[in-house]
Amino acid sequence: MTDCEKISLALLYAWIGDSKEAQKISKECIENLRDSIFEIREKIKEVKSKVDEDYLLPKALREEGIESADLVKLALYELSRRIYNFSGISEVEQYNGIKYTVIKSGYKSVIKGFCEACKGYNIREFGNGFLIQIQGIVYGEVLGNIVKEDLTKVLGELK
Amino acid sequence: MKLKFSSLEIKSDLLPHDKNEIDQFKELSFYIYESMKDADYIELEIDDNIINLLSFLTTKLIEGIADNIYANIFENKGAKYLSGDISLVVSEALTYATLNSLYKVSLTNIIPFRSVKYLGTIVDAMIDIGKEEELRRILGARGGFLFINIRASMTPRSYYIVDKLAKSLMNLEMVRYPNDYGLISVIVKDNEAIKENFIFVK
Repeated sequence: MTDCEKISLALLYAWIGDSKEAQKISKECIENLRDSIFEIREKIKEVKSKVDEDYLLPKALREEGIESADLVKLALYELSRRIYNFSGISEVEQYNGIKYTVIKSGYKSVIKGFCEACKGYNIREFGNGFLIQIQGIVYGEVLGNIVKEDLTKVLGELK
Repeated sequence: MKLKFSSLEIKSDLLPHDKNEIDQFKELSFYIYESMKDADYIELEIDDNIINLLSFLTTKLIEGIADNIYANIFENKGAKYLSGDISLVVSEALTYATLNSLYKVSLTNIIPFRSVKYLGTIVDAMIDIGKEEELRRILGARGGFLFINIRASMTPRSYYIVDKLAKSLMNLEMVRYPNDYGLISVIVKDNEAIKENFIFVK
């Protein structure tokens, strides 16, 4: 489990569009787990074919040595493979330790970002919208266009 | 956003695991459903901004989740169907938001597995409770994992919920048994409100 502790961060990076960072984390996870996956898969298949009722499966799996942690490993491996394969190429902007992207959807602009050093909860008014920071995750919605200087000023206040 | 929230707890000894026991998941789910119906609900306030931001953990690419929740509750339905994709994303976001605001779970400590659920051996999400003090206190645990299954219905029928509860319990046991913890989050629309039930399996 400890090998892939940061997998949620990979999801977060993929969300803000920093696919390089997401791929880095997920690749690390894939490499850590690769060796043990095959055996777990085979064993699960074997146990499944032996058991006739679904409700007997948990105990049968444990008796054959497949623990909760193994099932989690398998899922983590598959999830990181998904993150790794499905990440596209895109660029993020950076200001004062905050990585962010601005997504323009018609009349509205959405700001998504992540700031590793930020803590707690912080909300600021910005233009005719808002910008919020919760445990390092930054999100904002603004009507109309965004002036970059104004945005970086508010982002600085979120820390 | 206001929710009606209630939680209950069941012991895992009640669930059958062995060949000498009878498969009674359906009956148990029915009892859980009955006690959910009569439970005392508290009013829970959740910040709409958290809900929108939680789109990084949800399975499907749907943005503006808070808007969709209000649309599902208050808008004129007319001849339209309510989308299953939307209720899936809504239920995920509400569950994570509740965990965050009620049990102080750090958002980056939640690992969502729903996108790989086709494996058949995993649940919807997982939390390492070694890092979550409040959850440990609630569960009376020292460490381990909390496995989460999320179920939602915007047009709830009793047989549907009982059926899904049974499947969820079985699904949880697969990864939880014997020492870890489980949680089923059931979210249903009840008139013009959303009801959320947390069922902890210990």
